[in-house]
Parts: sequence; structure tokens; C-alpha cells
Amino acid sequence: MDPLLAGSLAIAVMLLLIALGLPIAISMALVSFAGMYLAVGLDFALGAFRNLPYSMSTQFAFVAIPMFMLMGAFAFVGGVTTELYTFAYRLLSRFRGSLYYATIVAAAGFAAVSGSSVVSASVFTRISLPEMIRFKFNRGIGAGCIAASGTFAAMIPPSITMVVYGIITGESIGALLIAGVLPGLLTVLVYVVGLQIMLRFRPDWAPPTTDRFSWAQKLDSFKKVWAVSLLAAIVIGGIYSGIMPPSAAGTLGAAGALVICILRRKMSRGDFWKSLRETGESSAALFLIMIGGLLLSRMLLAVGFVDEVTKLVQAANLSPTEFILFVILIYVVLGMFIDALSMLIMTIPFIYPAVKALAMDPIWFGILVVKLVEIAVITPPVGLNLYAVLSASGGSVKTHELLKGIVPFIVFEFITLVILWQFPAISTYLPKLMLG
Amino acid sequence: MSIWGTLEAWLHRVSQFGVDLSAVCLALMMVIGTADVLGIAFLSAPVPSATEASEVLLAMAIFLPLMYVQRTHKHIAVDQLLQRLPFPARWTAEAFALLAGLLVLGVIAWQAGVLTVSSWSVREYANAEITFPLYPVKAIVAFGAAAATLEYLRQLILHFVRPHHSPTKPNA
Repeated sequence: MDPLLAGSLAIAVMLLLIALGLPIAISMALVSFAGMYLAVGLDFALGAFRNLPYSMSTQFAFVAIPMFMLMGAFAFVGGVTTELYTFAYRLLSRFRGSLYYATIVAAAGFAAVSGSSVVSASVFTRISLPEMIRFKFNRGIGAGCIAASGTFAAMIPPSITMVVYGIITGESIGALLIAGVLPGLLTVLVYVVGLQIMLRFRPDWAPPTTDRFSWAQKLDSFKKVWAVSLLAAIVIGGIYSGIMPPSAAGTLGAAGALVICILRRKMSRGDFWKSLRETGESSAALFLIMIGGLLLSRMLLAVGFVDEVTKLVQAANLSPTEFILFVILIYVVLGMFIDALSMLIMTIPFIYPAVKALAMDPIWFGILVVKLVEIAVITPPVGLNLYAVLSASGGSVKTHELLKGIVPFIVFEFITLVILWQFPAISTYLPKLMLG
Repeated sequence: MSIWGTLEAWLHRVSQFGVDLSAVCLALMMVIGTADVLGIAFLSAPVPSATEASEVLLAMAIFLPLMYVQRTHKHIAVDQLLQRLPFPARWTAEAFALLAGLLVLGVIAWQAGVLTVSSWSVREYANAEITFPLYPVKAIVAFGAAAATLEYLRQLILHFVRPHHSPTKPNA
């Protein structure tokens, strides 16, 4: 069979199986096995299933994933989110829309110690949404702000999404993590400026708050966040300076978060084991998807699909602009229906060869993809962060309010995406400095 | 208690044991990794074989909870279409999903078993400063995948025995 047809057929079958409710990891692995068996033979397929899962799960570089998860879990147990929010709110309380800004700044701060956007969204719903409701802020915009701010965790290091992209593509995980710093800060800036502009036209979305804080109170709240800020600085700085690989930085970050929790007496033995167990479960589910993704890559390579795509892209004389528009279209459509991280894992095996064929910077492309993943988690109907906010709000926000409220933030995300697309240096400057 | 009930209780314990052991592996990874970083930074003395130990702990931490993940339906799936299907079609799709999972995890477990046997036959050891055998690790990986396969089998049997009990609901 023609390799292009075989590969396309395999991808179509995989999407059909996913649509029929098969777990994404199982769909990818099943199609990979069938593809390898039909194209190369049973021995090859069994060999891939024998070696790939074990070799993938024994890579030191991948230790970063559970350790970044654990760091976030410990930071959550330690009440870091509340402290960050209190600090940000006290600092910004005099501005109109202060509760929105506080949520954005605190979520960005939490993103520096946690790689999970869903955790961020659900936690900030519990902390900041009641305050927004108390001050009669627009519920939809407030809930949208929380859901969208949660996505910072995918861009700002330590980002699990970046590590996954690095694993699937083989790009430097350290460089990818560092590449997310400036785009993450840019996203925060776009949100803040965008909200300011919106509030000029719709001041009723954010009535002035009556809370005012003295400098002593602001300083007091800062005292509670300095330790975690230092920990985030050590982890990110360690990766940037090359002193620590991301995996080592992850273990140090997790241990540091644990020590902070213990010193503050906020970690019971039960919390400790619960965090570890949940990290184990999440890691197992994620790694099974990654194993599926790598098997899919191996199958597409074995059937000759990757070579054919590369040739096709070169023959079609596709410009990078056309290609990126095509990728945006794929991700926006798939992102509406498929979990964002799974979407990344199942699409990169056939998109990445084209990136290489077009001689695009893979780190910059990774940032664009992560931005699209961020958009996917807030795009209905399968926007995980939207569900996280709805479920954590306990019914105080209606689905239609959130779906309306998320729209401005999707627009902000697309504005940021265009800026990142047009100015690749924002993504590549720090990695180039880092790699010398 | 019936044989099925005893089996259920036993499988439940095995899945819990897998998650608990995974938690221990993660805790060890954190301790070893941190000691290694601090040892290098302050004493210029890394923990011997820390990298190799972390690698094998990672494999165990990933594979051991697979049974529990399937038992609690934490695998990521897209079920919007599935929920809209009429009962017979949904039942068939769910049965196919369980069968596919059984096959995939079964092949992974079988091949991990093959890997364990070949590792055992050559007495494979880690190429590290402090050396340790690799076949127990591979055996644990095979065990984790085999336990998950058993869970798929359990759910598949239940799916046929209790056709109106949806496997997409937890603890089916």
C-alpha cells in the first residue's frame, strides 16, 4: 500500500476509535500494532511493544514529569495558591478589576511551581470566584479569567506540556522549558492590557472594591510567598544556568516544596501520601499515552509515512505561514473534542517531520504548539479548564455564563499566538542565551 | 463470600498495593534526586548510581498504578459521541474498548515478560557505579502491565454479565 495512504488510514482509524470512546492511549497503541504488523510483520510489532514501553519509562530525562507534578501537588497542599492570591490582591486592590488582575498574577506565580493547568483553574475558582461574586464582578468574565489563567501552567516552567513535547520530538527539554518564560510573561501582559481595555468599555464588569491594604499588610503577605518564589527561582534558574537538568530540578523542587510545607506545619502524613499516590496515578495515565504516541511515531516511520510527508511538504512548496495556518486549524478543531495533551502527543508524530522539512525552529514551533494547547483547554466543548471551573464553582457560575465569559480570553490567546508567531525571538532568545 | 467476591477483593487489594508502591518509588526518586543535586553542589560528591536508580524507580512508578488507573477509569477518553449512542451501539463500543485495552496491555505485559526472561537468562545488571540486577525491575513492569490486563478482563466479564452496568462509570 502507498505509505501516505497507509499512514492517513491509520490516523483516520485512530481518530474513529477515539471518537468511539476508546482510551486515547489504547487507540494509538492498537492502531500502531496493526500498522506495524501489516506493514513490516509480527516480529517488528512485538519488538516495538517489547522495547519501547520499557526503554521510554526508564529515561532519566522523563523523571521531570512526575517530579513537576509532585512539586505542584505539595505546593497546593502547602496553601501556596491562597498566599499568592492574597499577595497579588493586596498589591493590586486599588485598581479597577483588581480581582481579575490578582487572579492572573497569582496564577502566573503558581504556574512557576506547578505544571498542571487544571489544578490551577480549580484551586483559583475556590479562592477568587467567591470574592468576585462578593464584589459583584461579572461572573462569566471572572470564571473565564480563572479558567484562562490556569493555562499559564502549560507555558511557564516547570511545564509538563513542554516536557512531553520534548520527549516526543527529542528536542532539548531544558531549552523548551526556558523558552516558555517570555511567552508566559507575554500572555500575562496581554491579559492585563486586554482586560484594562475591556473595562474601559464595560466598567460594570468590575465594580470598585472597597478593600484597601497598608504597606505593612502588603509586606506581611509577601513574607508568606518569598520561600516559594525562591524555590521557583532555584528550579528555573538551575535549568537555565545548566547547573541542573530538568529532572534534577524537578526532584529538588518537589523536595523543596515538601520542606516548605513541613516547616509551616501544613503537611500531614495523610496529605503526603495522598499527593504521592495521585501523582503516581496521573503519571501512569500520562505515560501510557506517551507510550502510545511513541508507538504511533514508530509505526508512521515504519510504514514510510514520515518520509512521504516530508517529500510531500517539500514538493508542495508549502510556505511556513501556510503550514502554521494549517496546524492552527488542526489544533483548533481537534482541541474542541480531544484532551489537549493527548492531542499534542497524537499529532506531533506526523506534524513534526514537516516542521523539520520546512527548516522551522523546533523550539519556536513548540511554543506555538503549547499556545495552541492552552487555547484547546479553554475551548468548548472539551475544554478541561472550563469543566474544572464549573465543577469547583459549586453551581455559582452557569455554563452559559462561562461560555460567554471565556470568549475575550480566547481572543487574548489568539493575539498572543500571533505575536509569538510574528516575533520568534520572544521564544528563542532565552534558549539561545542558555545554550550559548 | 462467593469466588467472584473473593477475587474482586483480591484484585482491589492488588490495585491498591500498586498505587502504594508507586508512591514509595516516587518518594525514593525525590530523596535520591535531591541528595544527588545537593551532594554535587555542596560536596562535589554525587550519590552513586542515582541516575540509574531514578530510571528504574520511574519505570516501577509508572507501571504499578496502571491497574488502579483502569479500575477508577482515569484513562483519558473522549466520550461525547459514546454517550449519545443508543444502548446497543454504546454497549458494543464499550465492549470493544475493553477488548482493545485487554489486547494492548496484554501484549505489553507479555513482551515485558519476554524481556524479563531474557534479562534473567543473562543475569543482566545495571551499568552503574553501584550495580544492581535489572530483571526484578523488568519483572515488576511486566507485573504492572499484567495486573492492568487482569483489570480489563474483569471489566469485560462484568460488561457481559451485567450489560446495563456502564463501564464508563467508576468502580464498574
